Amino acid sequence: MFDVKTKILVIDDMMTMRKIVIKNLKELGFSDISEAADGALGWKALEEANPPVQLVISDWNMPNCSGLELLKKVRGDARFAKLPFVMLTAEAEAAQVKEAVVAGATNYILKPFTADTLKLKLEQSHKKVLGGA
Amino acid sequence: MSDNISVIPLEITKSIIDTFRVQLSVKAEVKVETKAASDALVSGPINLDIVSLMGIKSSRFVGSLALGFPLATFLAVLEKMLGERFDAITTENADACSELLNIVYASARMKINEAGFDFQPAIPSTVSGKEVSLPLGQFSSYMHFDGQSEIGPFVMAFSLKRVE
Repeated sequence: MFDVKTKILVIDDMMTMRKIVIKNLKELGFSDISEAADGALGWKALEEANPPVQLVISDWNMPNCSGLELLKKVRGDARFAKLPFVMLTAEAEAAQVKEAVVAGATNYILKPFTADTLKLKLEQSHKKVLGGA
Repeated sequence: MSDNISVIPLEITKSIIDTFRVQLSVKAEVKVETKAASDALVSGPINLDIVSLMGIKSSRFVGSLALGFPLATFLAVLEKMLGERFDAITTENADACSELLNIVYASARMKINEAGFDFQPAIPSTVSGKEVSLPLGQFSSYMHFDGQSEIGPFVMAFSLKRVE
């Protein structure tokens, strides 16, 4: 599992969903959590973070810059190419999941989700990142 | 392309129940009936204080889907979702209604499309106030989902018409 000191960025245009994710992350012991309301603000937060963000949990459907657009931007930048990036979405169609995987998503969380699901997906993501290291 | 539109209210009902169970840890029941939209209102027997609405469309249908709560139920929803108590609906916490509608529609849409439809993603908008109601003017009838849950009543409404 990711260390509880991991610096996490949560991106979602819905304040409610950001709060749910942050609440669940805090229950898992994480405390260094920042948030952004869309992909454009998320990109700004990534670029400005010092020390750098170590894990991104991002919604897919957002105004200005979607989660997928942000993911492609992240993977296209050498600074963030290996940054763990977990997509959070209510869209579960196979084609969309495939699109996220092809774009470089580390993992995929479907809404609705429980705290246990979030924990499991983060554990899977950590293993995947270690495996790819 | 499928014309089995009965799958749509069925999957919406399943999705409502699943969303309440997973995201809110709340048991919910839903009774579905078709109502004339001559009153052009999404209201039913309870007064709604917040309603989220989305326009939905496929290559052959257009429609709308709405989710509404009376104040007491919505405040309980917020407490279940966020672990915080709220005394009122605010511009900040109102998006919980949109988020729930978004989850219900997205989950149902996947199953509906597996049955042969091609409904597209949609973005909800939310209105709140005293005894909110919504016009469903372009439809002659709509499906009314009378929801009951451990934290109070709620309403969904669904309307659909074939594209000429």
